[in-house]
Amino acid sequence: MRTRITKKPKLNSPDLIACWPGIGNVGIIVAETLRRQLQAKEMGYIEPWDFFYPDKVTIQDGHLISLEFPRSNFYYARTDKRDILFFLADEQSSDGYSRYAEGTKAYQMANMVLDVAQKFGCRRVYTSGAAVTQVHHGARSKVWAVPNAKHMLSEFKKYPNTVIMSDIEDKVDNVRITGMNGVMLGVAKNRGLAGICLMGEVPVYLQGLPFAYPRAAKSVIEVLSTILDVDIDFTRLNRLAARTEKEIERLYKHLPKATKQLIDKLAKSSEPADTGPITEDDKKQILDEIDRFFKKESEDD
Amino acid sequence: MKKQRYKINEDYPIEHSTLIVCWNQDVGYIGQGISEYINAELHAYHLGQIEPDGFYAMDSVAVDNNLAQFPENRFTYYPQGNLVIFTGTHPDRQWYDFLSTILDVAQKHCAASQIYTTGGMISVTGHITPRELITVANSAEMSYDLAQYDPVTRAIEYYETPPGRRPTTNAYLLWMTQRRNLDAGCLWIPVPFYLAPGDDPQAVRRILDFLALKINLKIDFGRINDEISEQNEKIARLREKDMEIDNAISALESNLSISGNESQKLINAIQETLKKSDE
Repeated sequence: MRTRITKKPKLNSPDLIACWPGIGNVGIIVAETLRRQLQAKEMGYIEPWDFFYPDKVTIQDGHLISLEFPRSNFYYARTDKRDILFFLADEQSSDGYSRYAEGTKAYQMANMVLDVAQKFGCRRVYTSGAAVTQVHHGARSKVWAVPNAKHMLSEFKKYPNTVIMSDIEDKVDNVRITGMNGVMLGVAKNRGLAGICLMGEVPVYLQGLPFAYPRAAKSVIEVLSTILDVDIDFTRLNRLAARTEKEIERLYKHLPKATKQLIDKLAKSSEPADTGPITEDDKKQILDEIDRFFKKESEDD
Repeated sequence: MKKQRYKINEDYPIEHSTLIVCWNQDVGYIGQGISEYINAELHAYHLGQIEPDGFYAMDSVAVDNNLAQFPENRFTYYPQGNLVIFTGTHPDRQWYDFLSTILDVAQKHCAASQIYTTGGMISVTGHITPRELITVANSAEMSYDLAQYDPVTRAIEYYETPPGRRPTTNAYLLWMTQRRNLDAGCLWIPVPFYLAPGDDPQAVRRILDFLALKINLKIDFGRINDEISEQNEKIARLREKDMEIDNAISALESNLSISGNESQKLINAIQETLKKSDE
């Protein structure tokens, strides 16, 4: 189980942005957008075979040419104001086939990422993901901020469009941040390292769908770019969001009237609340209808 | 200290061997078929096993062929032909460690000079169609070497894992042999889809043929030939009785496609016929 650092740039107390795939691919879109726009350079990787099953084999002329694994790479970027480290993985790390972090492998990977970050003098860790909640797909996603230390709460209260858990009805207790985003935050806390998870709101009825939700990622990037004091061009992300919204509208049109009405209820509610205008039964009805729609589509194919 | 993940019987010092990797619950039960047949034909010695701890969820047991199963990963040594067969169950975690353990045993305790993995690939062909042996080697030299031993061998010209799919455990193992500089190849046999859930003795025979040539294995093919004839006869009788089944297999034999419904009916009818006569 090894980390390979291929470049050793001198960095000045960099912040780490570490992201893994998850609901709506929010974290990966956030990290990829920042990585590209800040022209971050690759500087190493965690050997993937201890964590992931390979995802591609290439055979040519009767023999094996290559076997590829999901990425688990480190990058760095220097901006006018600060240095940034990135860690991006194409899959969450788990002990078995689970798509989400689980067991000792998740813990080991989080520690390996933080070992590298701290070696380069990292002081703060950001992770990002989705906050699945009762929000309408036409609404601007709010950003839920969960720091791992009390002293950061006041800082995050001041960013626009950002809420902390106590701002959200019924969200003070019993909240869990699932997957590597959560594990990372906990492991950082254990090391006394400041960490924050920024989660973009994703409509509850879209959580199981096979497409990304760039609107949530955009909200997170808006907050992160303010914190990091970097300029980000949103043209590409806006295009991606428009394309996704078209897909959602196409899906919406095919839903029965009663289901549409339930979704419309969310458009009228502006408060972030998990116990919002629709009930658990309503939620189930919407999800079942969406499931039926996709099943029908795949049968038609 | 890293714990040793296997147990080895040191009574059989092996100076040189060929390792064959066979998987349980394979398409057409090819892996099981090969190891069981060779086991019955040659003097076998239990060489050792990989401990299952850490490689499987261990939250339940699978039931296969009416029997409760438990992950089994054993090495058997056959002095005739200097052959070692690993019969294993695909791990569901820590794949890299698992495959490393197989190769550690192969190198440290079997002095394996060549490693072959075996497997079936589901095919849309009839059962009478002669089976090709499809090979993938871990080097160009090994690919050339494999082609020398069998006139009906076909090397895969080009393949890339399609999106949404994963490479097989055999491909993963082949890559690891490459990194350890060991000669290795995957031996694949097409298995007609309607035989895939049960035994396919013809596919097993095809790999045994190759091994007999490649490592000079002296085995009597009489029993497996009988099994093939018996299976073919049962299917032939079913075709006589059931026009729909006969039409479906005829279509496959003529390289024509059949519908999803027809395919399912064919699988059910064939498996029912073969199982009934096995009981």
